[in-house]
Amino acid sequence: MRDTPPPLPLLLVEGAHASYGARRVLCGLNLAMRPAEILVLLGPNGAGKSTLIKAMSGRLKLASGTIAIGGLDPARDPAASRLCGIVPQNIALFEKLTAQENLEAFGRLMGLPARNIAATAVATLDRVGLADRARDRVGALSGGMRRRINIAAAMMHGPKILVLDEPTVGLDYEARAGLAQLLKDLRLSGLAILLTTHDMDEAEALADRVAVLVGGVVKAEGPPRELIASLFRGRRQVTLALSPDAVRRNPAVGDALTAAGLARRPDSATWCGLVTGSETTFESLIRSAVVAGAVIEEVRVRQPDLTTLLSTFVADDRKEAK
Amino acid sequence: MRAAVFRVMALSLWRDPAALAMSFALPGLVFVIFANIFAGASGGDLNLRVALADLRADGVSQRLTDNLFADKRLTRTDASALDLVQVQELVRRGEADVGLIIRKGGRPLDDLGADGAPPLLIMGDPGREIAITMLAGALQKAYFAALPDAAVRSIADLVDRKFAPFNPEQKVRIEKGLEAMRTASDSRDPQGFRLDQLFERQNAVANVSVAAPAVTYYAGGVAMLFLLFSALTGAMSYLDERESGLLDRLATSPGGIGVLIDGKFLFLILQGFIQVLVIYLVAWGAFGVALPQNAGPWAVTTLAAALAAAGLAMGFVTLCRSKQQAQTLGQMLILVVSAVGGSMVPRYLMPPPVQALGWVTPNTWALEAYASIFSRADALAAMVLPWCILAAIGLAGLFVAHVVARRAV
Repeated sequence: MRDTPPPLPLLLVEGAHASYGARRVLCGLNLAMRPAEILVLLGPNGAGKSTLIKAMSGRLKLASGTIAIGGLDPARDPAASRLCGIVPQNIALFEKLTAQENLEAFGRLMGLPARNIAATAVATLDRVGLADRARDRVGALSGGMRRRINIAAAMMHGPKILVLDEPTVGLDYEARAGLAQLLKDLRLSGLAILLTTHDMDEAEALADRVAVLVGGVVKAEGPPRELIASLFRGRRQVTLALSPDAVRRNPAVGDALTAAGLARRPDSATWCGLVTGSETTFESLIRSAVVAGAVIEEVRVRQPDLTTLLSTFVADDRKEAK
Repeated sequence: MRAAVFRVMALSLWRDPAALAMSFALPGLVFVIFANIFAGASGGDLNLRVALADLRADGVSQRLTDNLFADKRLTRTDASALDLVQVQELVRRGEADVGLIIRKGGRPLDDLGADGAPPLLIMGDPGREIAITMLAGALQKAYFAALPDAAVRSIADLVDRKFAPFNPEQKVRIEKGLEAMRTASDSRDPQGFRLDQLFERQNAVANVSVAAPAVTYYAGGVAMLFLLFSALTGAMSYLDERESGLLDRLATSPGGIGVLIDGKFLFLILQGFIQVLVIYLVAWGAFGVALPQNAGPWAVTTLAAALAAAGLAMGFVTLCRSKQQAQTLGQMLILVVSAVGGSMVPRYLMPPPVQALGWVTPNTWALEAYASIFSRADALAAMVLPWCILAAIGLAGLFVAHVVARRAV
């Protein structure tokens, strides 16, 4: 029996270069995305996330490289960018209009045939779980509901890729969970979801794959757990907070921690780093600090996560830049 | 797609009672206030309060004051007898616009050629110079109407003393003539000899049927002021939408950002047209401005003015970085443009350099077109230039809005 081949990429970015004046923003970015997956773009501010989205929506022409959405170039063919539904970070809706009126307005603006608009709006509201609030004015709805309508508005024209810029900012825990479930449901219906977020817990919980975008290139991509495991290979994140004068009184403490692979955070008595080893390794590390005369105020040993992953790539990028 | 933006703007306005009142009720109200204040100040219905002290209190002074207060623009502040100090106090406190004292001493009222101080004293406030001038004019008119014999007697005395002395027979005939004049004046005989008919008045514009021309002027002035303000307020919704990311969302739409700009522009034109219609309906109903007779040219002028305001507002807001900047800078610009353009003070009261500067504002061109219709009854050809300029201003603003908005996304 033959395996089913993976679906063709819905989004394919190859060697994308773009700049604003002298500032280079995309520096040979490669990325692929398939239907029915959630891809989370991680990266510090200025890494090129917004620029990539601009290029996908046809608002920015690449200096070199290609972007193909459904096989079409968005810079040349407007039909390509219409395969994307953009969900801005803020609530980009008309406050005085009802939920249904909003969706109908966006349907008209996206060029849907007039005869289909009302039915499509009702169906889309149903997909985001707000069919019963169709006649409520958007300004009177809760933050979570407005976020859902914000997403629904981007779905009115039937896009293949939903692009969300930090969709859960300002939401409480319950609303976040509800929105996360909605995105998973939308993925199951076949939508590809490209998400940018600074919330690593959210990224880890939602992402089928993450792409770490630093300095205009994708440094790593893959399922979050696999990516972390392959990069850190059993190392753990160790944090030791010492008494403020421990190292000054006994420089041997600092030497012992440095030798173990920890680095001191600037302007603090906290040491941290990725350490390979077993429980006994960590125990001997702590013991050596205590023997050297340090007073330990806090010890943390944990598995590396996406925050660790991102900060590692950002630190490497800064080192390269220097 | 433009209709979708238009509908969104219309529904948003309809569901915002405060914005609705600001757009359509406030302009009419402000116009009524302006019309009442400035129609009076320009002379149409001015009522001058005069404090009178008749210290002479004889038949001659009575004839003068009866004639003076027959003028409906003058009101006597106090029916009781006042003295000089009381008149001065009334003027000082602002309870009277001007004071008139008929002196007991000095030259007789009916013999101005005699020696002595003038028989009348006008007590004025320098802050209300116009009241002094108006009373002086009214007094001259009343004097010649009430005492034509006294005026002629003064001239006859002057001729007798300085140029050619009359003989006794001539003096008797003059006295008889003066007596006949006095009688004719007392009986208001139209065939009698009167000196108050130096001139007649006629309006240069044949078709004007308005009681106070200033009302017509201010209808246009207030209309243009509110057109600019409401267009700015409406256009600022673009900045909300830009900040919320709505422009990013629409960037992938078939019409792009241009659809949003055009839809807002069209809505602002319609909103402006209705707003000006409300003002002119009030002007027609309450002040008799000839709107129905001039509906066609008025509609074209209003459409051109609304187009100019909408285009300018859209161009301006797309250039602004934030809503706060648009609000502060926009209001400041509108006030300056409206002041220079003649929406606040009639242009004919401005010094020539400011009047010349007014031609760079849409207000002046709109006022020019409205004046052509309602005050000068010009032929349509005279309105073509203002219409074209207003339309060009609006389209230039729309072009700027398109270019800047496209760059913004």
